[in-house]
Amino acid sequence: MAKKDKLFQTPKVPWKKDFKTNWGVYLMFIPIFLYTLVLHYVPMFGIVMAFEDYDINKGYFKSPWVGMANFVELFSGSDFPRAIFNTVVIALLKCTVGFVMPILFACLLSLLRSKKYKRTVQTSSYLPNFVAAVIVCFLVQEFVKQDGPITLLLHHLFGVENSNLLADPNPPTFWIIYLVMGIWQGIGWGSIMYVAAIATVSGDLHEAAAIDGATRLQRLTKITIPCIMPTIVMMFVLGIGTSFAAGYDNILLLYMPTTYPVADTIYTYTYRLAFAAGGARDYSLSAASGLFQSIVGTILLMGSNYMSKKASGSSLF
Amino acid sequence: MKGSRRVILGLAGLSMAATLGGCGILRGAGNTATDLNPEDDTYYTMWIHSGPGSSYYTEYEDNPAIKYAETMTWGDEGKSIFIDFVIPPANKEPDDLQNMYINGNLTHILDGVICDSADIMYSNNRIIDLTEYVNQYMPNYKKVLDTVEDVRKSAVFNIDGEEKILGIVTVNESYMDVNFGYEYRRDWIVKYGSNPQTGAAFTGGYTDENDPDSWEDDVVFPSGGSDPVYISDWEWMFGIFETAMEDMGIDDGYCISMYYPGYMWSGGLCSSFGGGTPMFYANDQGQACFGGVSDSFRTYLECLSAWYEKGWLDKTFDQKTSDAHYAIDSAKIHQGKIGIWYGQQSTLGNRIYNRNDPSQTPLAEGIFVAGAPMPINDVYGPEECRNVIPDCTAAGVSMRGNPVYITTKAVEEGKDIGALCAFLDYFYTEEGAVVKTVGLTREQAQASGSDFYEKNGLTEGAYTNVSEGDYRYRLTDTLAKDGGNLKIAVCAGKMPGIELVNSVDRCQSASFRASMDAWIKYPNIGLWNGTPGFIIEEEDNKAIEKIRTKLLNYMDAHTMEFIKGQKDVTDDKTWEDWCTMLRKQNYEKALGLVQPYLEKYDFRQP
Amino acid sequence: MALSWKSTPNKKNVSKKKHNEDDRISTMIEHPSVGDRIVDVIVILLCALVAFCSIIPMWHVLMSSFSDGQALLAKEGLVLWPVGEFNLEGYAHIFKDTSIIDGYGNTIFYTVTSVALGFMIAAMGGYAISRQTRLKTPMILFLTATMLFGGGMVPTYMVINALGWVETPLALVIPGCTNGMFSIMMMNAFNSVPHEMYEAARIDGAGHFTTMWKIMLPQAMNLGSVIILNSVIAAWNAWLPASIYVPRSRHLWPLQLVINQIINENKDFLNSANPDYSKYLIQFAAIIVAAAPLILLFPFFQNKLEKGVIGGGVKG
Repeated sequence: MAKKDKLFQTPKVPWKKDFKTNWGVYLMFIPIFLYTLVLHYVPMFGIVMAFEDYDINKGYFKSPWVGMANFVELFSGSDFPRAIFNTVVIALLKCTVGFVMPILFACLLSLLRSKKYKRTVQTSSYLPNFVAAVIVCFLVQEFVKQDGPITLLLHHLFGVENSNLLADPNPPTFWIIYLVMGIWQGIGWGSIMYVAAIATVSGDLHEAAAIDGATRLQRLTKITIPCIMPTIVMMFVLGIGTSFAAGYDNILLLYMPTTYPVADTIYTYTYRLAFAAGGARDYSLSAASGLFQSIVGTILLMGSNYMSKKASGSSLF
Repeated sequence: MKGSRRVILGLAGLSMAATLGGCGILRGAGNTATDLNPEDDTYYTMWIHSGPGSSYYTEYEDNPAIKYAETMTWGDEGKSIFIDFVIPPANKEPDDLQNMYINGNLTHILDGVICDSADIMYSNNRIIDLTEYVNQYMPNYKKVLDTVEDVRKSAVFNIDGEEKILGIVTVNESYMDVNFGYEYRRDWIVKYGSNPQTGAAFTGGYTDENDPDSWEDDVVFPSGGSDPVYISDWEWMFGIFETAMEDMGIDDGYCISMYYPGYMWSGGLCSSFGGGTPMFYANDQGQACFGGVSDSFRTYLECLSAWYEKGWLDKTFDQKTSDAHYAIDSAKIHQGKIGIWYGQQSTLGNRIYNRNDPSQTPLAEGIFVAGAPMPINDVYGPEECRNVIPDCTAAGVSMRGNPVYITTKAVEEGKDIGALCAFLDYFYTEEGAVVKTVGLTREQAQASGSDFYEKNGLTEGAYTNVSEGDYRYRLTDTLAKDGGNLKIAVCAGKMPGIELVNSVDRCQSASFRASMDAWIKYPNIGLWNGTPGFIIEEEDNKAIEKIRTKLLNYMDAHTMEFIKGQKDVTDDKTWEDWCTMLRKQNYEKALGLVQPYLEKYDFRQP
Repeated sequence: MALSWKSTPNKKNVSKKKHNEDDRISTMIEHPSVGDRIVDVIVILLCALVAFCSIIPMWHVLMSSFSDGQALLAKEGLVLWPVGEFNLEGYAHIFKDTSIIDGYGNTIFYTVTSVALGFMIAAMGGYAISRQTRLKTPMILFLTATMLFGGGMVPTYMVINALGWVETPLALVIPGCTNGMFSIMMMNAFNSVPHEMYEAARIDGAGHFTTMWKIMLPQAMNLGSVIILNSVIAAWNAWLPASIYVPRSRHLWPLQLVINQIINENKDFLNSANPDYSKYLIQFAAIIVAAAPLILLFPFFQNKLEKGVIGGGVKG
């Protein structure tokens, strides 16, 4: 597939010629263009809130302009460096281990011979997606508390101290718990994409390889994985881009002051600053934080796209 | 393949069924008032918070008490009026209000629970000045304004040197019951304690097995009364609880639960150690204070760390981050493993005990839980922190209830404001107050044109008239025993008016009533947050909130270090460092900003 | 496992016509080696582990919903079996409210319409950006940016209000029906369709829409069903947009918002001297009530996902 991408790279044609041959293609783009423009780009004027001292009574256009003050407040907090550090660590874990697990699971499924069994496993794996995050967090808390099943298991196997693992302020306990929870919730749903991609792999290739005496594992690594590589690359690039900005809200349910040093992320840090208990809500500050995370996300997206182009020849754009 | 085809067929069928039968989109709104014209000058819209639950009625227009009030005629011309209630989805009220601001479709009447303060809304031309209307059409409300200072403070505003009535504010007859408070295992005291004076064993028990509140005993606390009053009483109880837990083999219980992260910004137990909150409050001199550096808070921490050290306090209190303040360790409480906790009405008496299936709550057999008032410190800290009455508690702030505002929209659309005001004034009469707070009599229910009362077993009406002490009205049995929202569904609680409190006999048993009274024993007088009518201008408020957030962030993260003994609160150097860190957040600036408002509002002058 | 293995040769004859591709991989090796069998065992066990772990949360919810409310309140940890007496009172509370039926109807309507519309838009967009044009990269960037930057809820409301969609079903069908990511996924799907098929269709004189619809889409339908599945779930579970855009029109509320309202109206049940403990079950029953139709839908989608390119190739 990677090769084909290169094949597609047509030499730059003059604009006029391009429009003449491709107007039909551009016509197809119009619906999503209008949709995105009106419902995504027009509302982006809301971003100005990050540079204002937003007041609901005055609205977007009359609230006082404060320039970079919200950003200064965000970045000058003494907890900010640690929040950045933890966000990076958790994002890295999500993009590596967390990213690979659904692919492995999809591969595992493809190795199953019994179709019925495969369906049962697959359907079960989707279930956590329908359970509220609060309940999954509750179960995690119950599993790793003192005398919880996982705590006891680790205690007997590895001599880990029998105490609430979520209260352990030493790295990497919290990171691992959070990562595992993410995998638990998302492995089934995340694998759908790859299951579908694996299904497109031509059976002829497999048959030919089998006749040549390749084992199933060999076929997995030599045929299946290369064939779904474009999908993996696409998901990887998109995943890196969003890894910094999304998916940290559950930490609010799991962390505690004792574990702030390892669990505090930009999201939670902003949340505490902007939405303190019993106080007024500072929408401007949270908008500033959101904008900051989006910008970092964009840089990461561009970076990972460039890297994957260099490394594997296939890229998102 | 067969399976998928069946699914497709099923889906198609489902869509058809949805479209033909259930789908509300095509059926349109169930219009309850087809004969009424929204253009009429007596057709008003009113924005309120969620009603009594859709198990009774989804439209508040169907409320029988509202229907009854609407059968009468109002104003100079004797018009009958109709109110169309607009209810946003639960918990989405702030968003909905903001959206109304944006699209300009304010309702004619606004419930002021979460609105901005009245003067801000008035200056933004959202609500109207009601002075003239009140003077002309609302004699009963006027009387309230003239007599109840608290209500006056939140309804009347000085706009450019002129006194204007901006809101129609509900007035409570007396302090309202609260839903939360400290509760303790009184049955353990009877079983494992002994009279501190005579050393005799206590006796006590239920007089009626089926009544969760029919408890009687002869418990005497070290302070001499039959209820705990002081911290020393509490510590005496802790000793008994330890014996009890040991005897019953409870190894994961504890004597007292503590909310995460070891303090409550709105006061809580800290107020027991010399008054105030760990955050901002007004002291008895009317001075704005910051509690985080006060002796009260230090004494509070000293006490808690002593309790922690002795094993009385929940060892993992700082890990219960997902518990709400008032639902601490709910599972253990409901198992009956804890001595004192901050809990709800539903854990009083022997309500924890599972009657249907006693095997579920073996430790709660014979349980009796009583409500305790806030304790008064007599053990820890300096003299000035002892024997001081708590002043920042969960009990009622004042006699004020929610305000209601009339919007400029009502004037723009030519609504008859006079008739509306006359209608609203009805709820400030004795008869109207009963309709608002208690419900309807049988005759009124029949006149209302609603079959709600009959359907819900209230053929005799909602109450009977009595004359016993303070009581003038007694709820009927069906209503008193209801565990759901029926009490709210039968009356017009969303209307402003007089909220009857102590003249209504809610048929609560003596011990339950005693617990309720214990919880409101010390009213909240020092906390200005949430005080209706106490308005800090937007700009100042934002500055104060910023500082408050920073303080909270620091205190949330570090308070537990004192309680868990990682830092010694009695060490002057350590405490000074703590104070320095907090001072860095510039709380003095916040206090300076609040002080003029306290003086202007006349907040808690000695 | 052994059973399924032995049955394979028979199955081959019977089912090859029907599910030729599905079973091809599992039927083509006639003589499994010892190594293969070990791999089989490991794979089966690992899958069983994942399935087991995945079932736990839903099982907990299901069993909690059948429990006795008061007993459940006193229960710590995982609920493996109904606590206390088995009962269905949580469900009774939910279905007592007749608007739940309206909610189902509305949700089905919103889901079907918005997924259909959204998929069309995304597929057309994905087709456009999968072709080699000079604006390819700008178009992709145009869509990618929406994944990272957003104006927030209030500005979006202002736009939808300006369009006049507030308190109409349009506000729940059009906004959120698709997004940039789906288009990019469709682009990927179209990219993997053999270029020859596209060329052939174009040379035959088919327009771009016909090419996309008749030739390309059937080939891309397995990734397409991933997108549809994701859209269905998103549309089914959405309640926030409804609470913002149609707050006053209860007859327009989707299932999730109705449920959310029921949960919220009953969550303070413990602030009462006569608490109705069964209200504690509502939150658990609600998850089951909302998710059950979707879980029943899965087999249908799985079929789609596993079918791969074959169906399309034949049609093309």
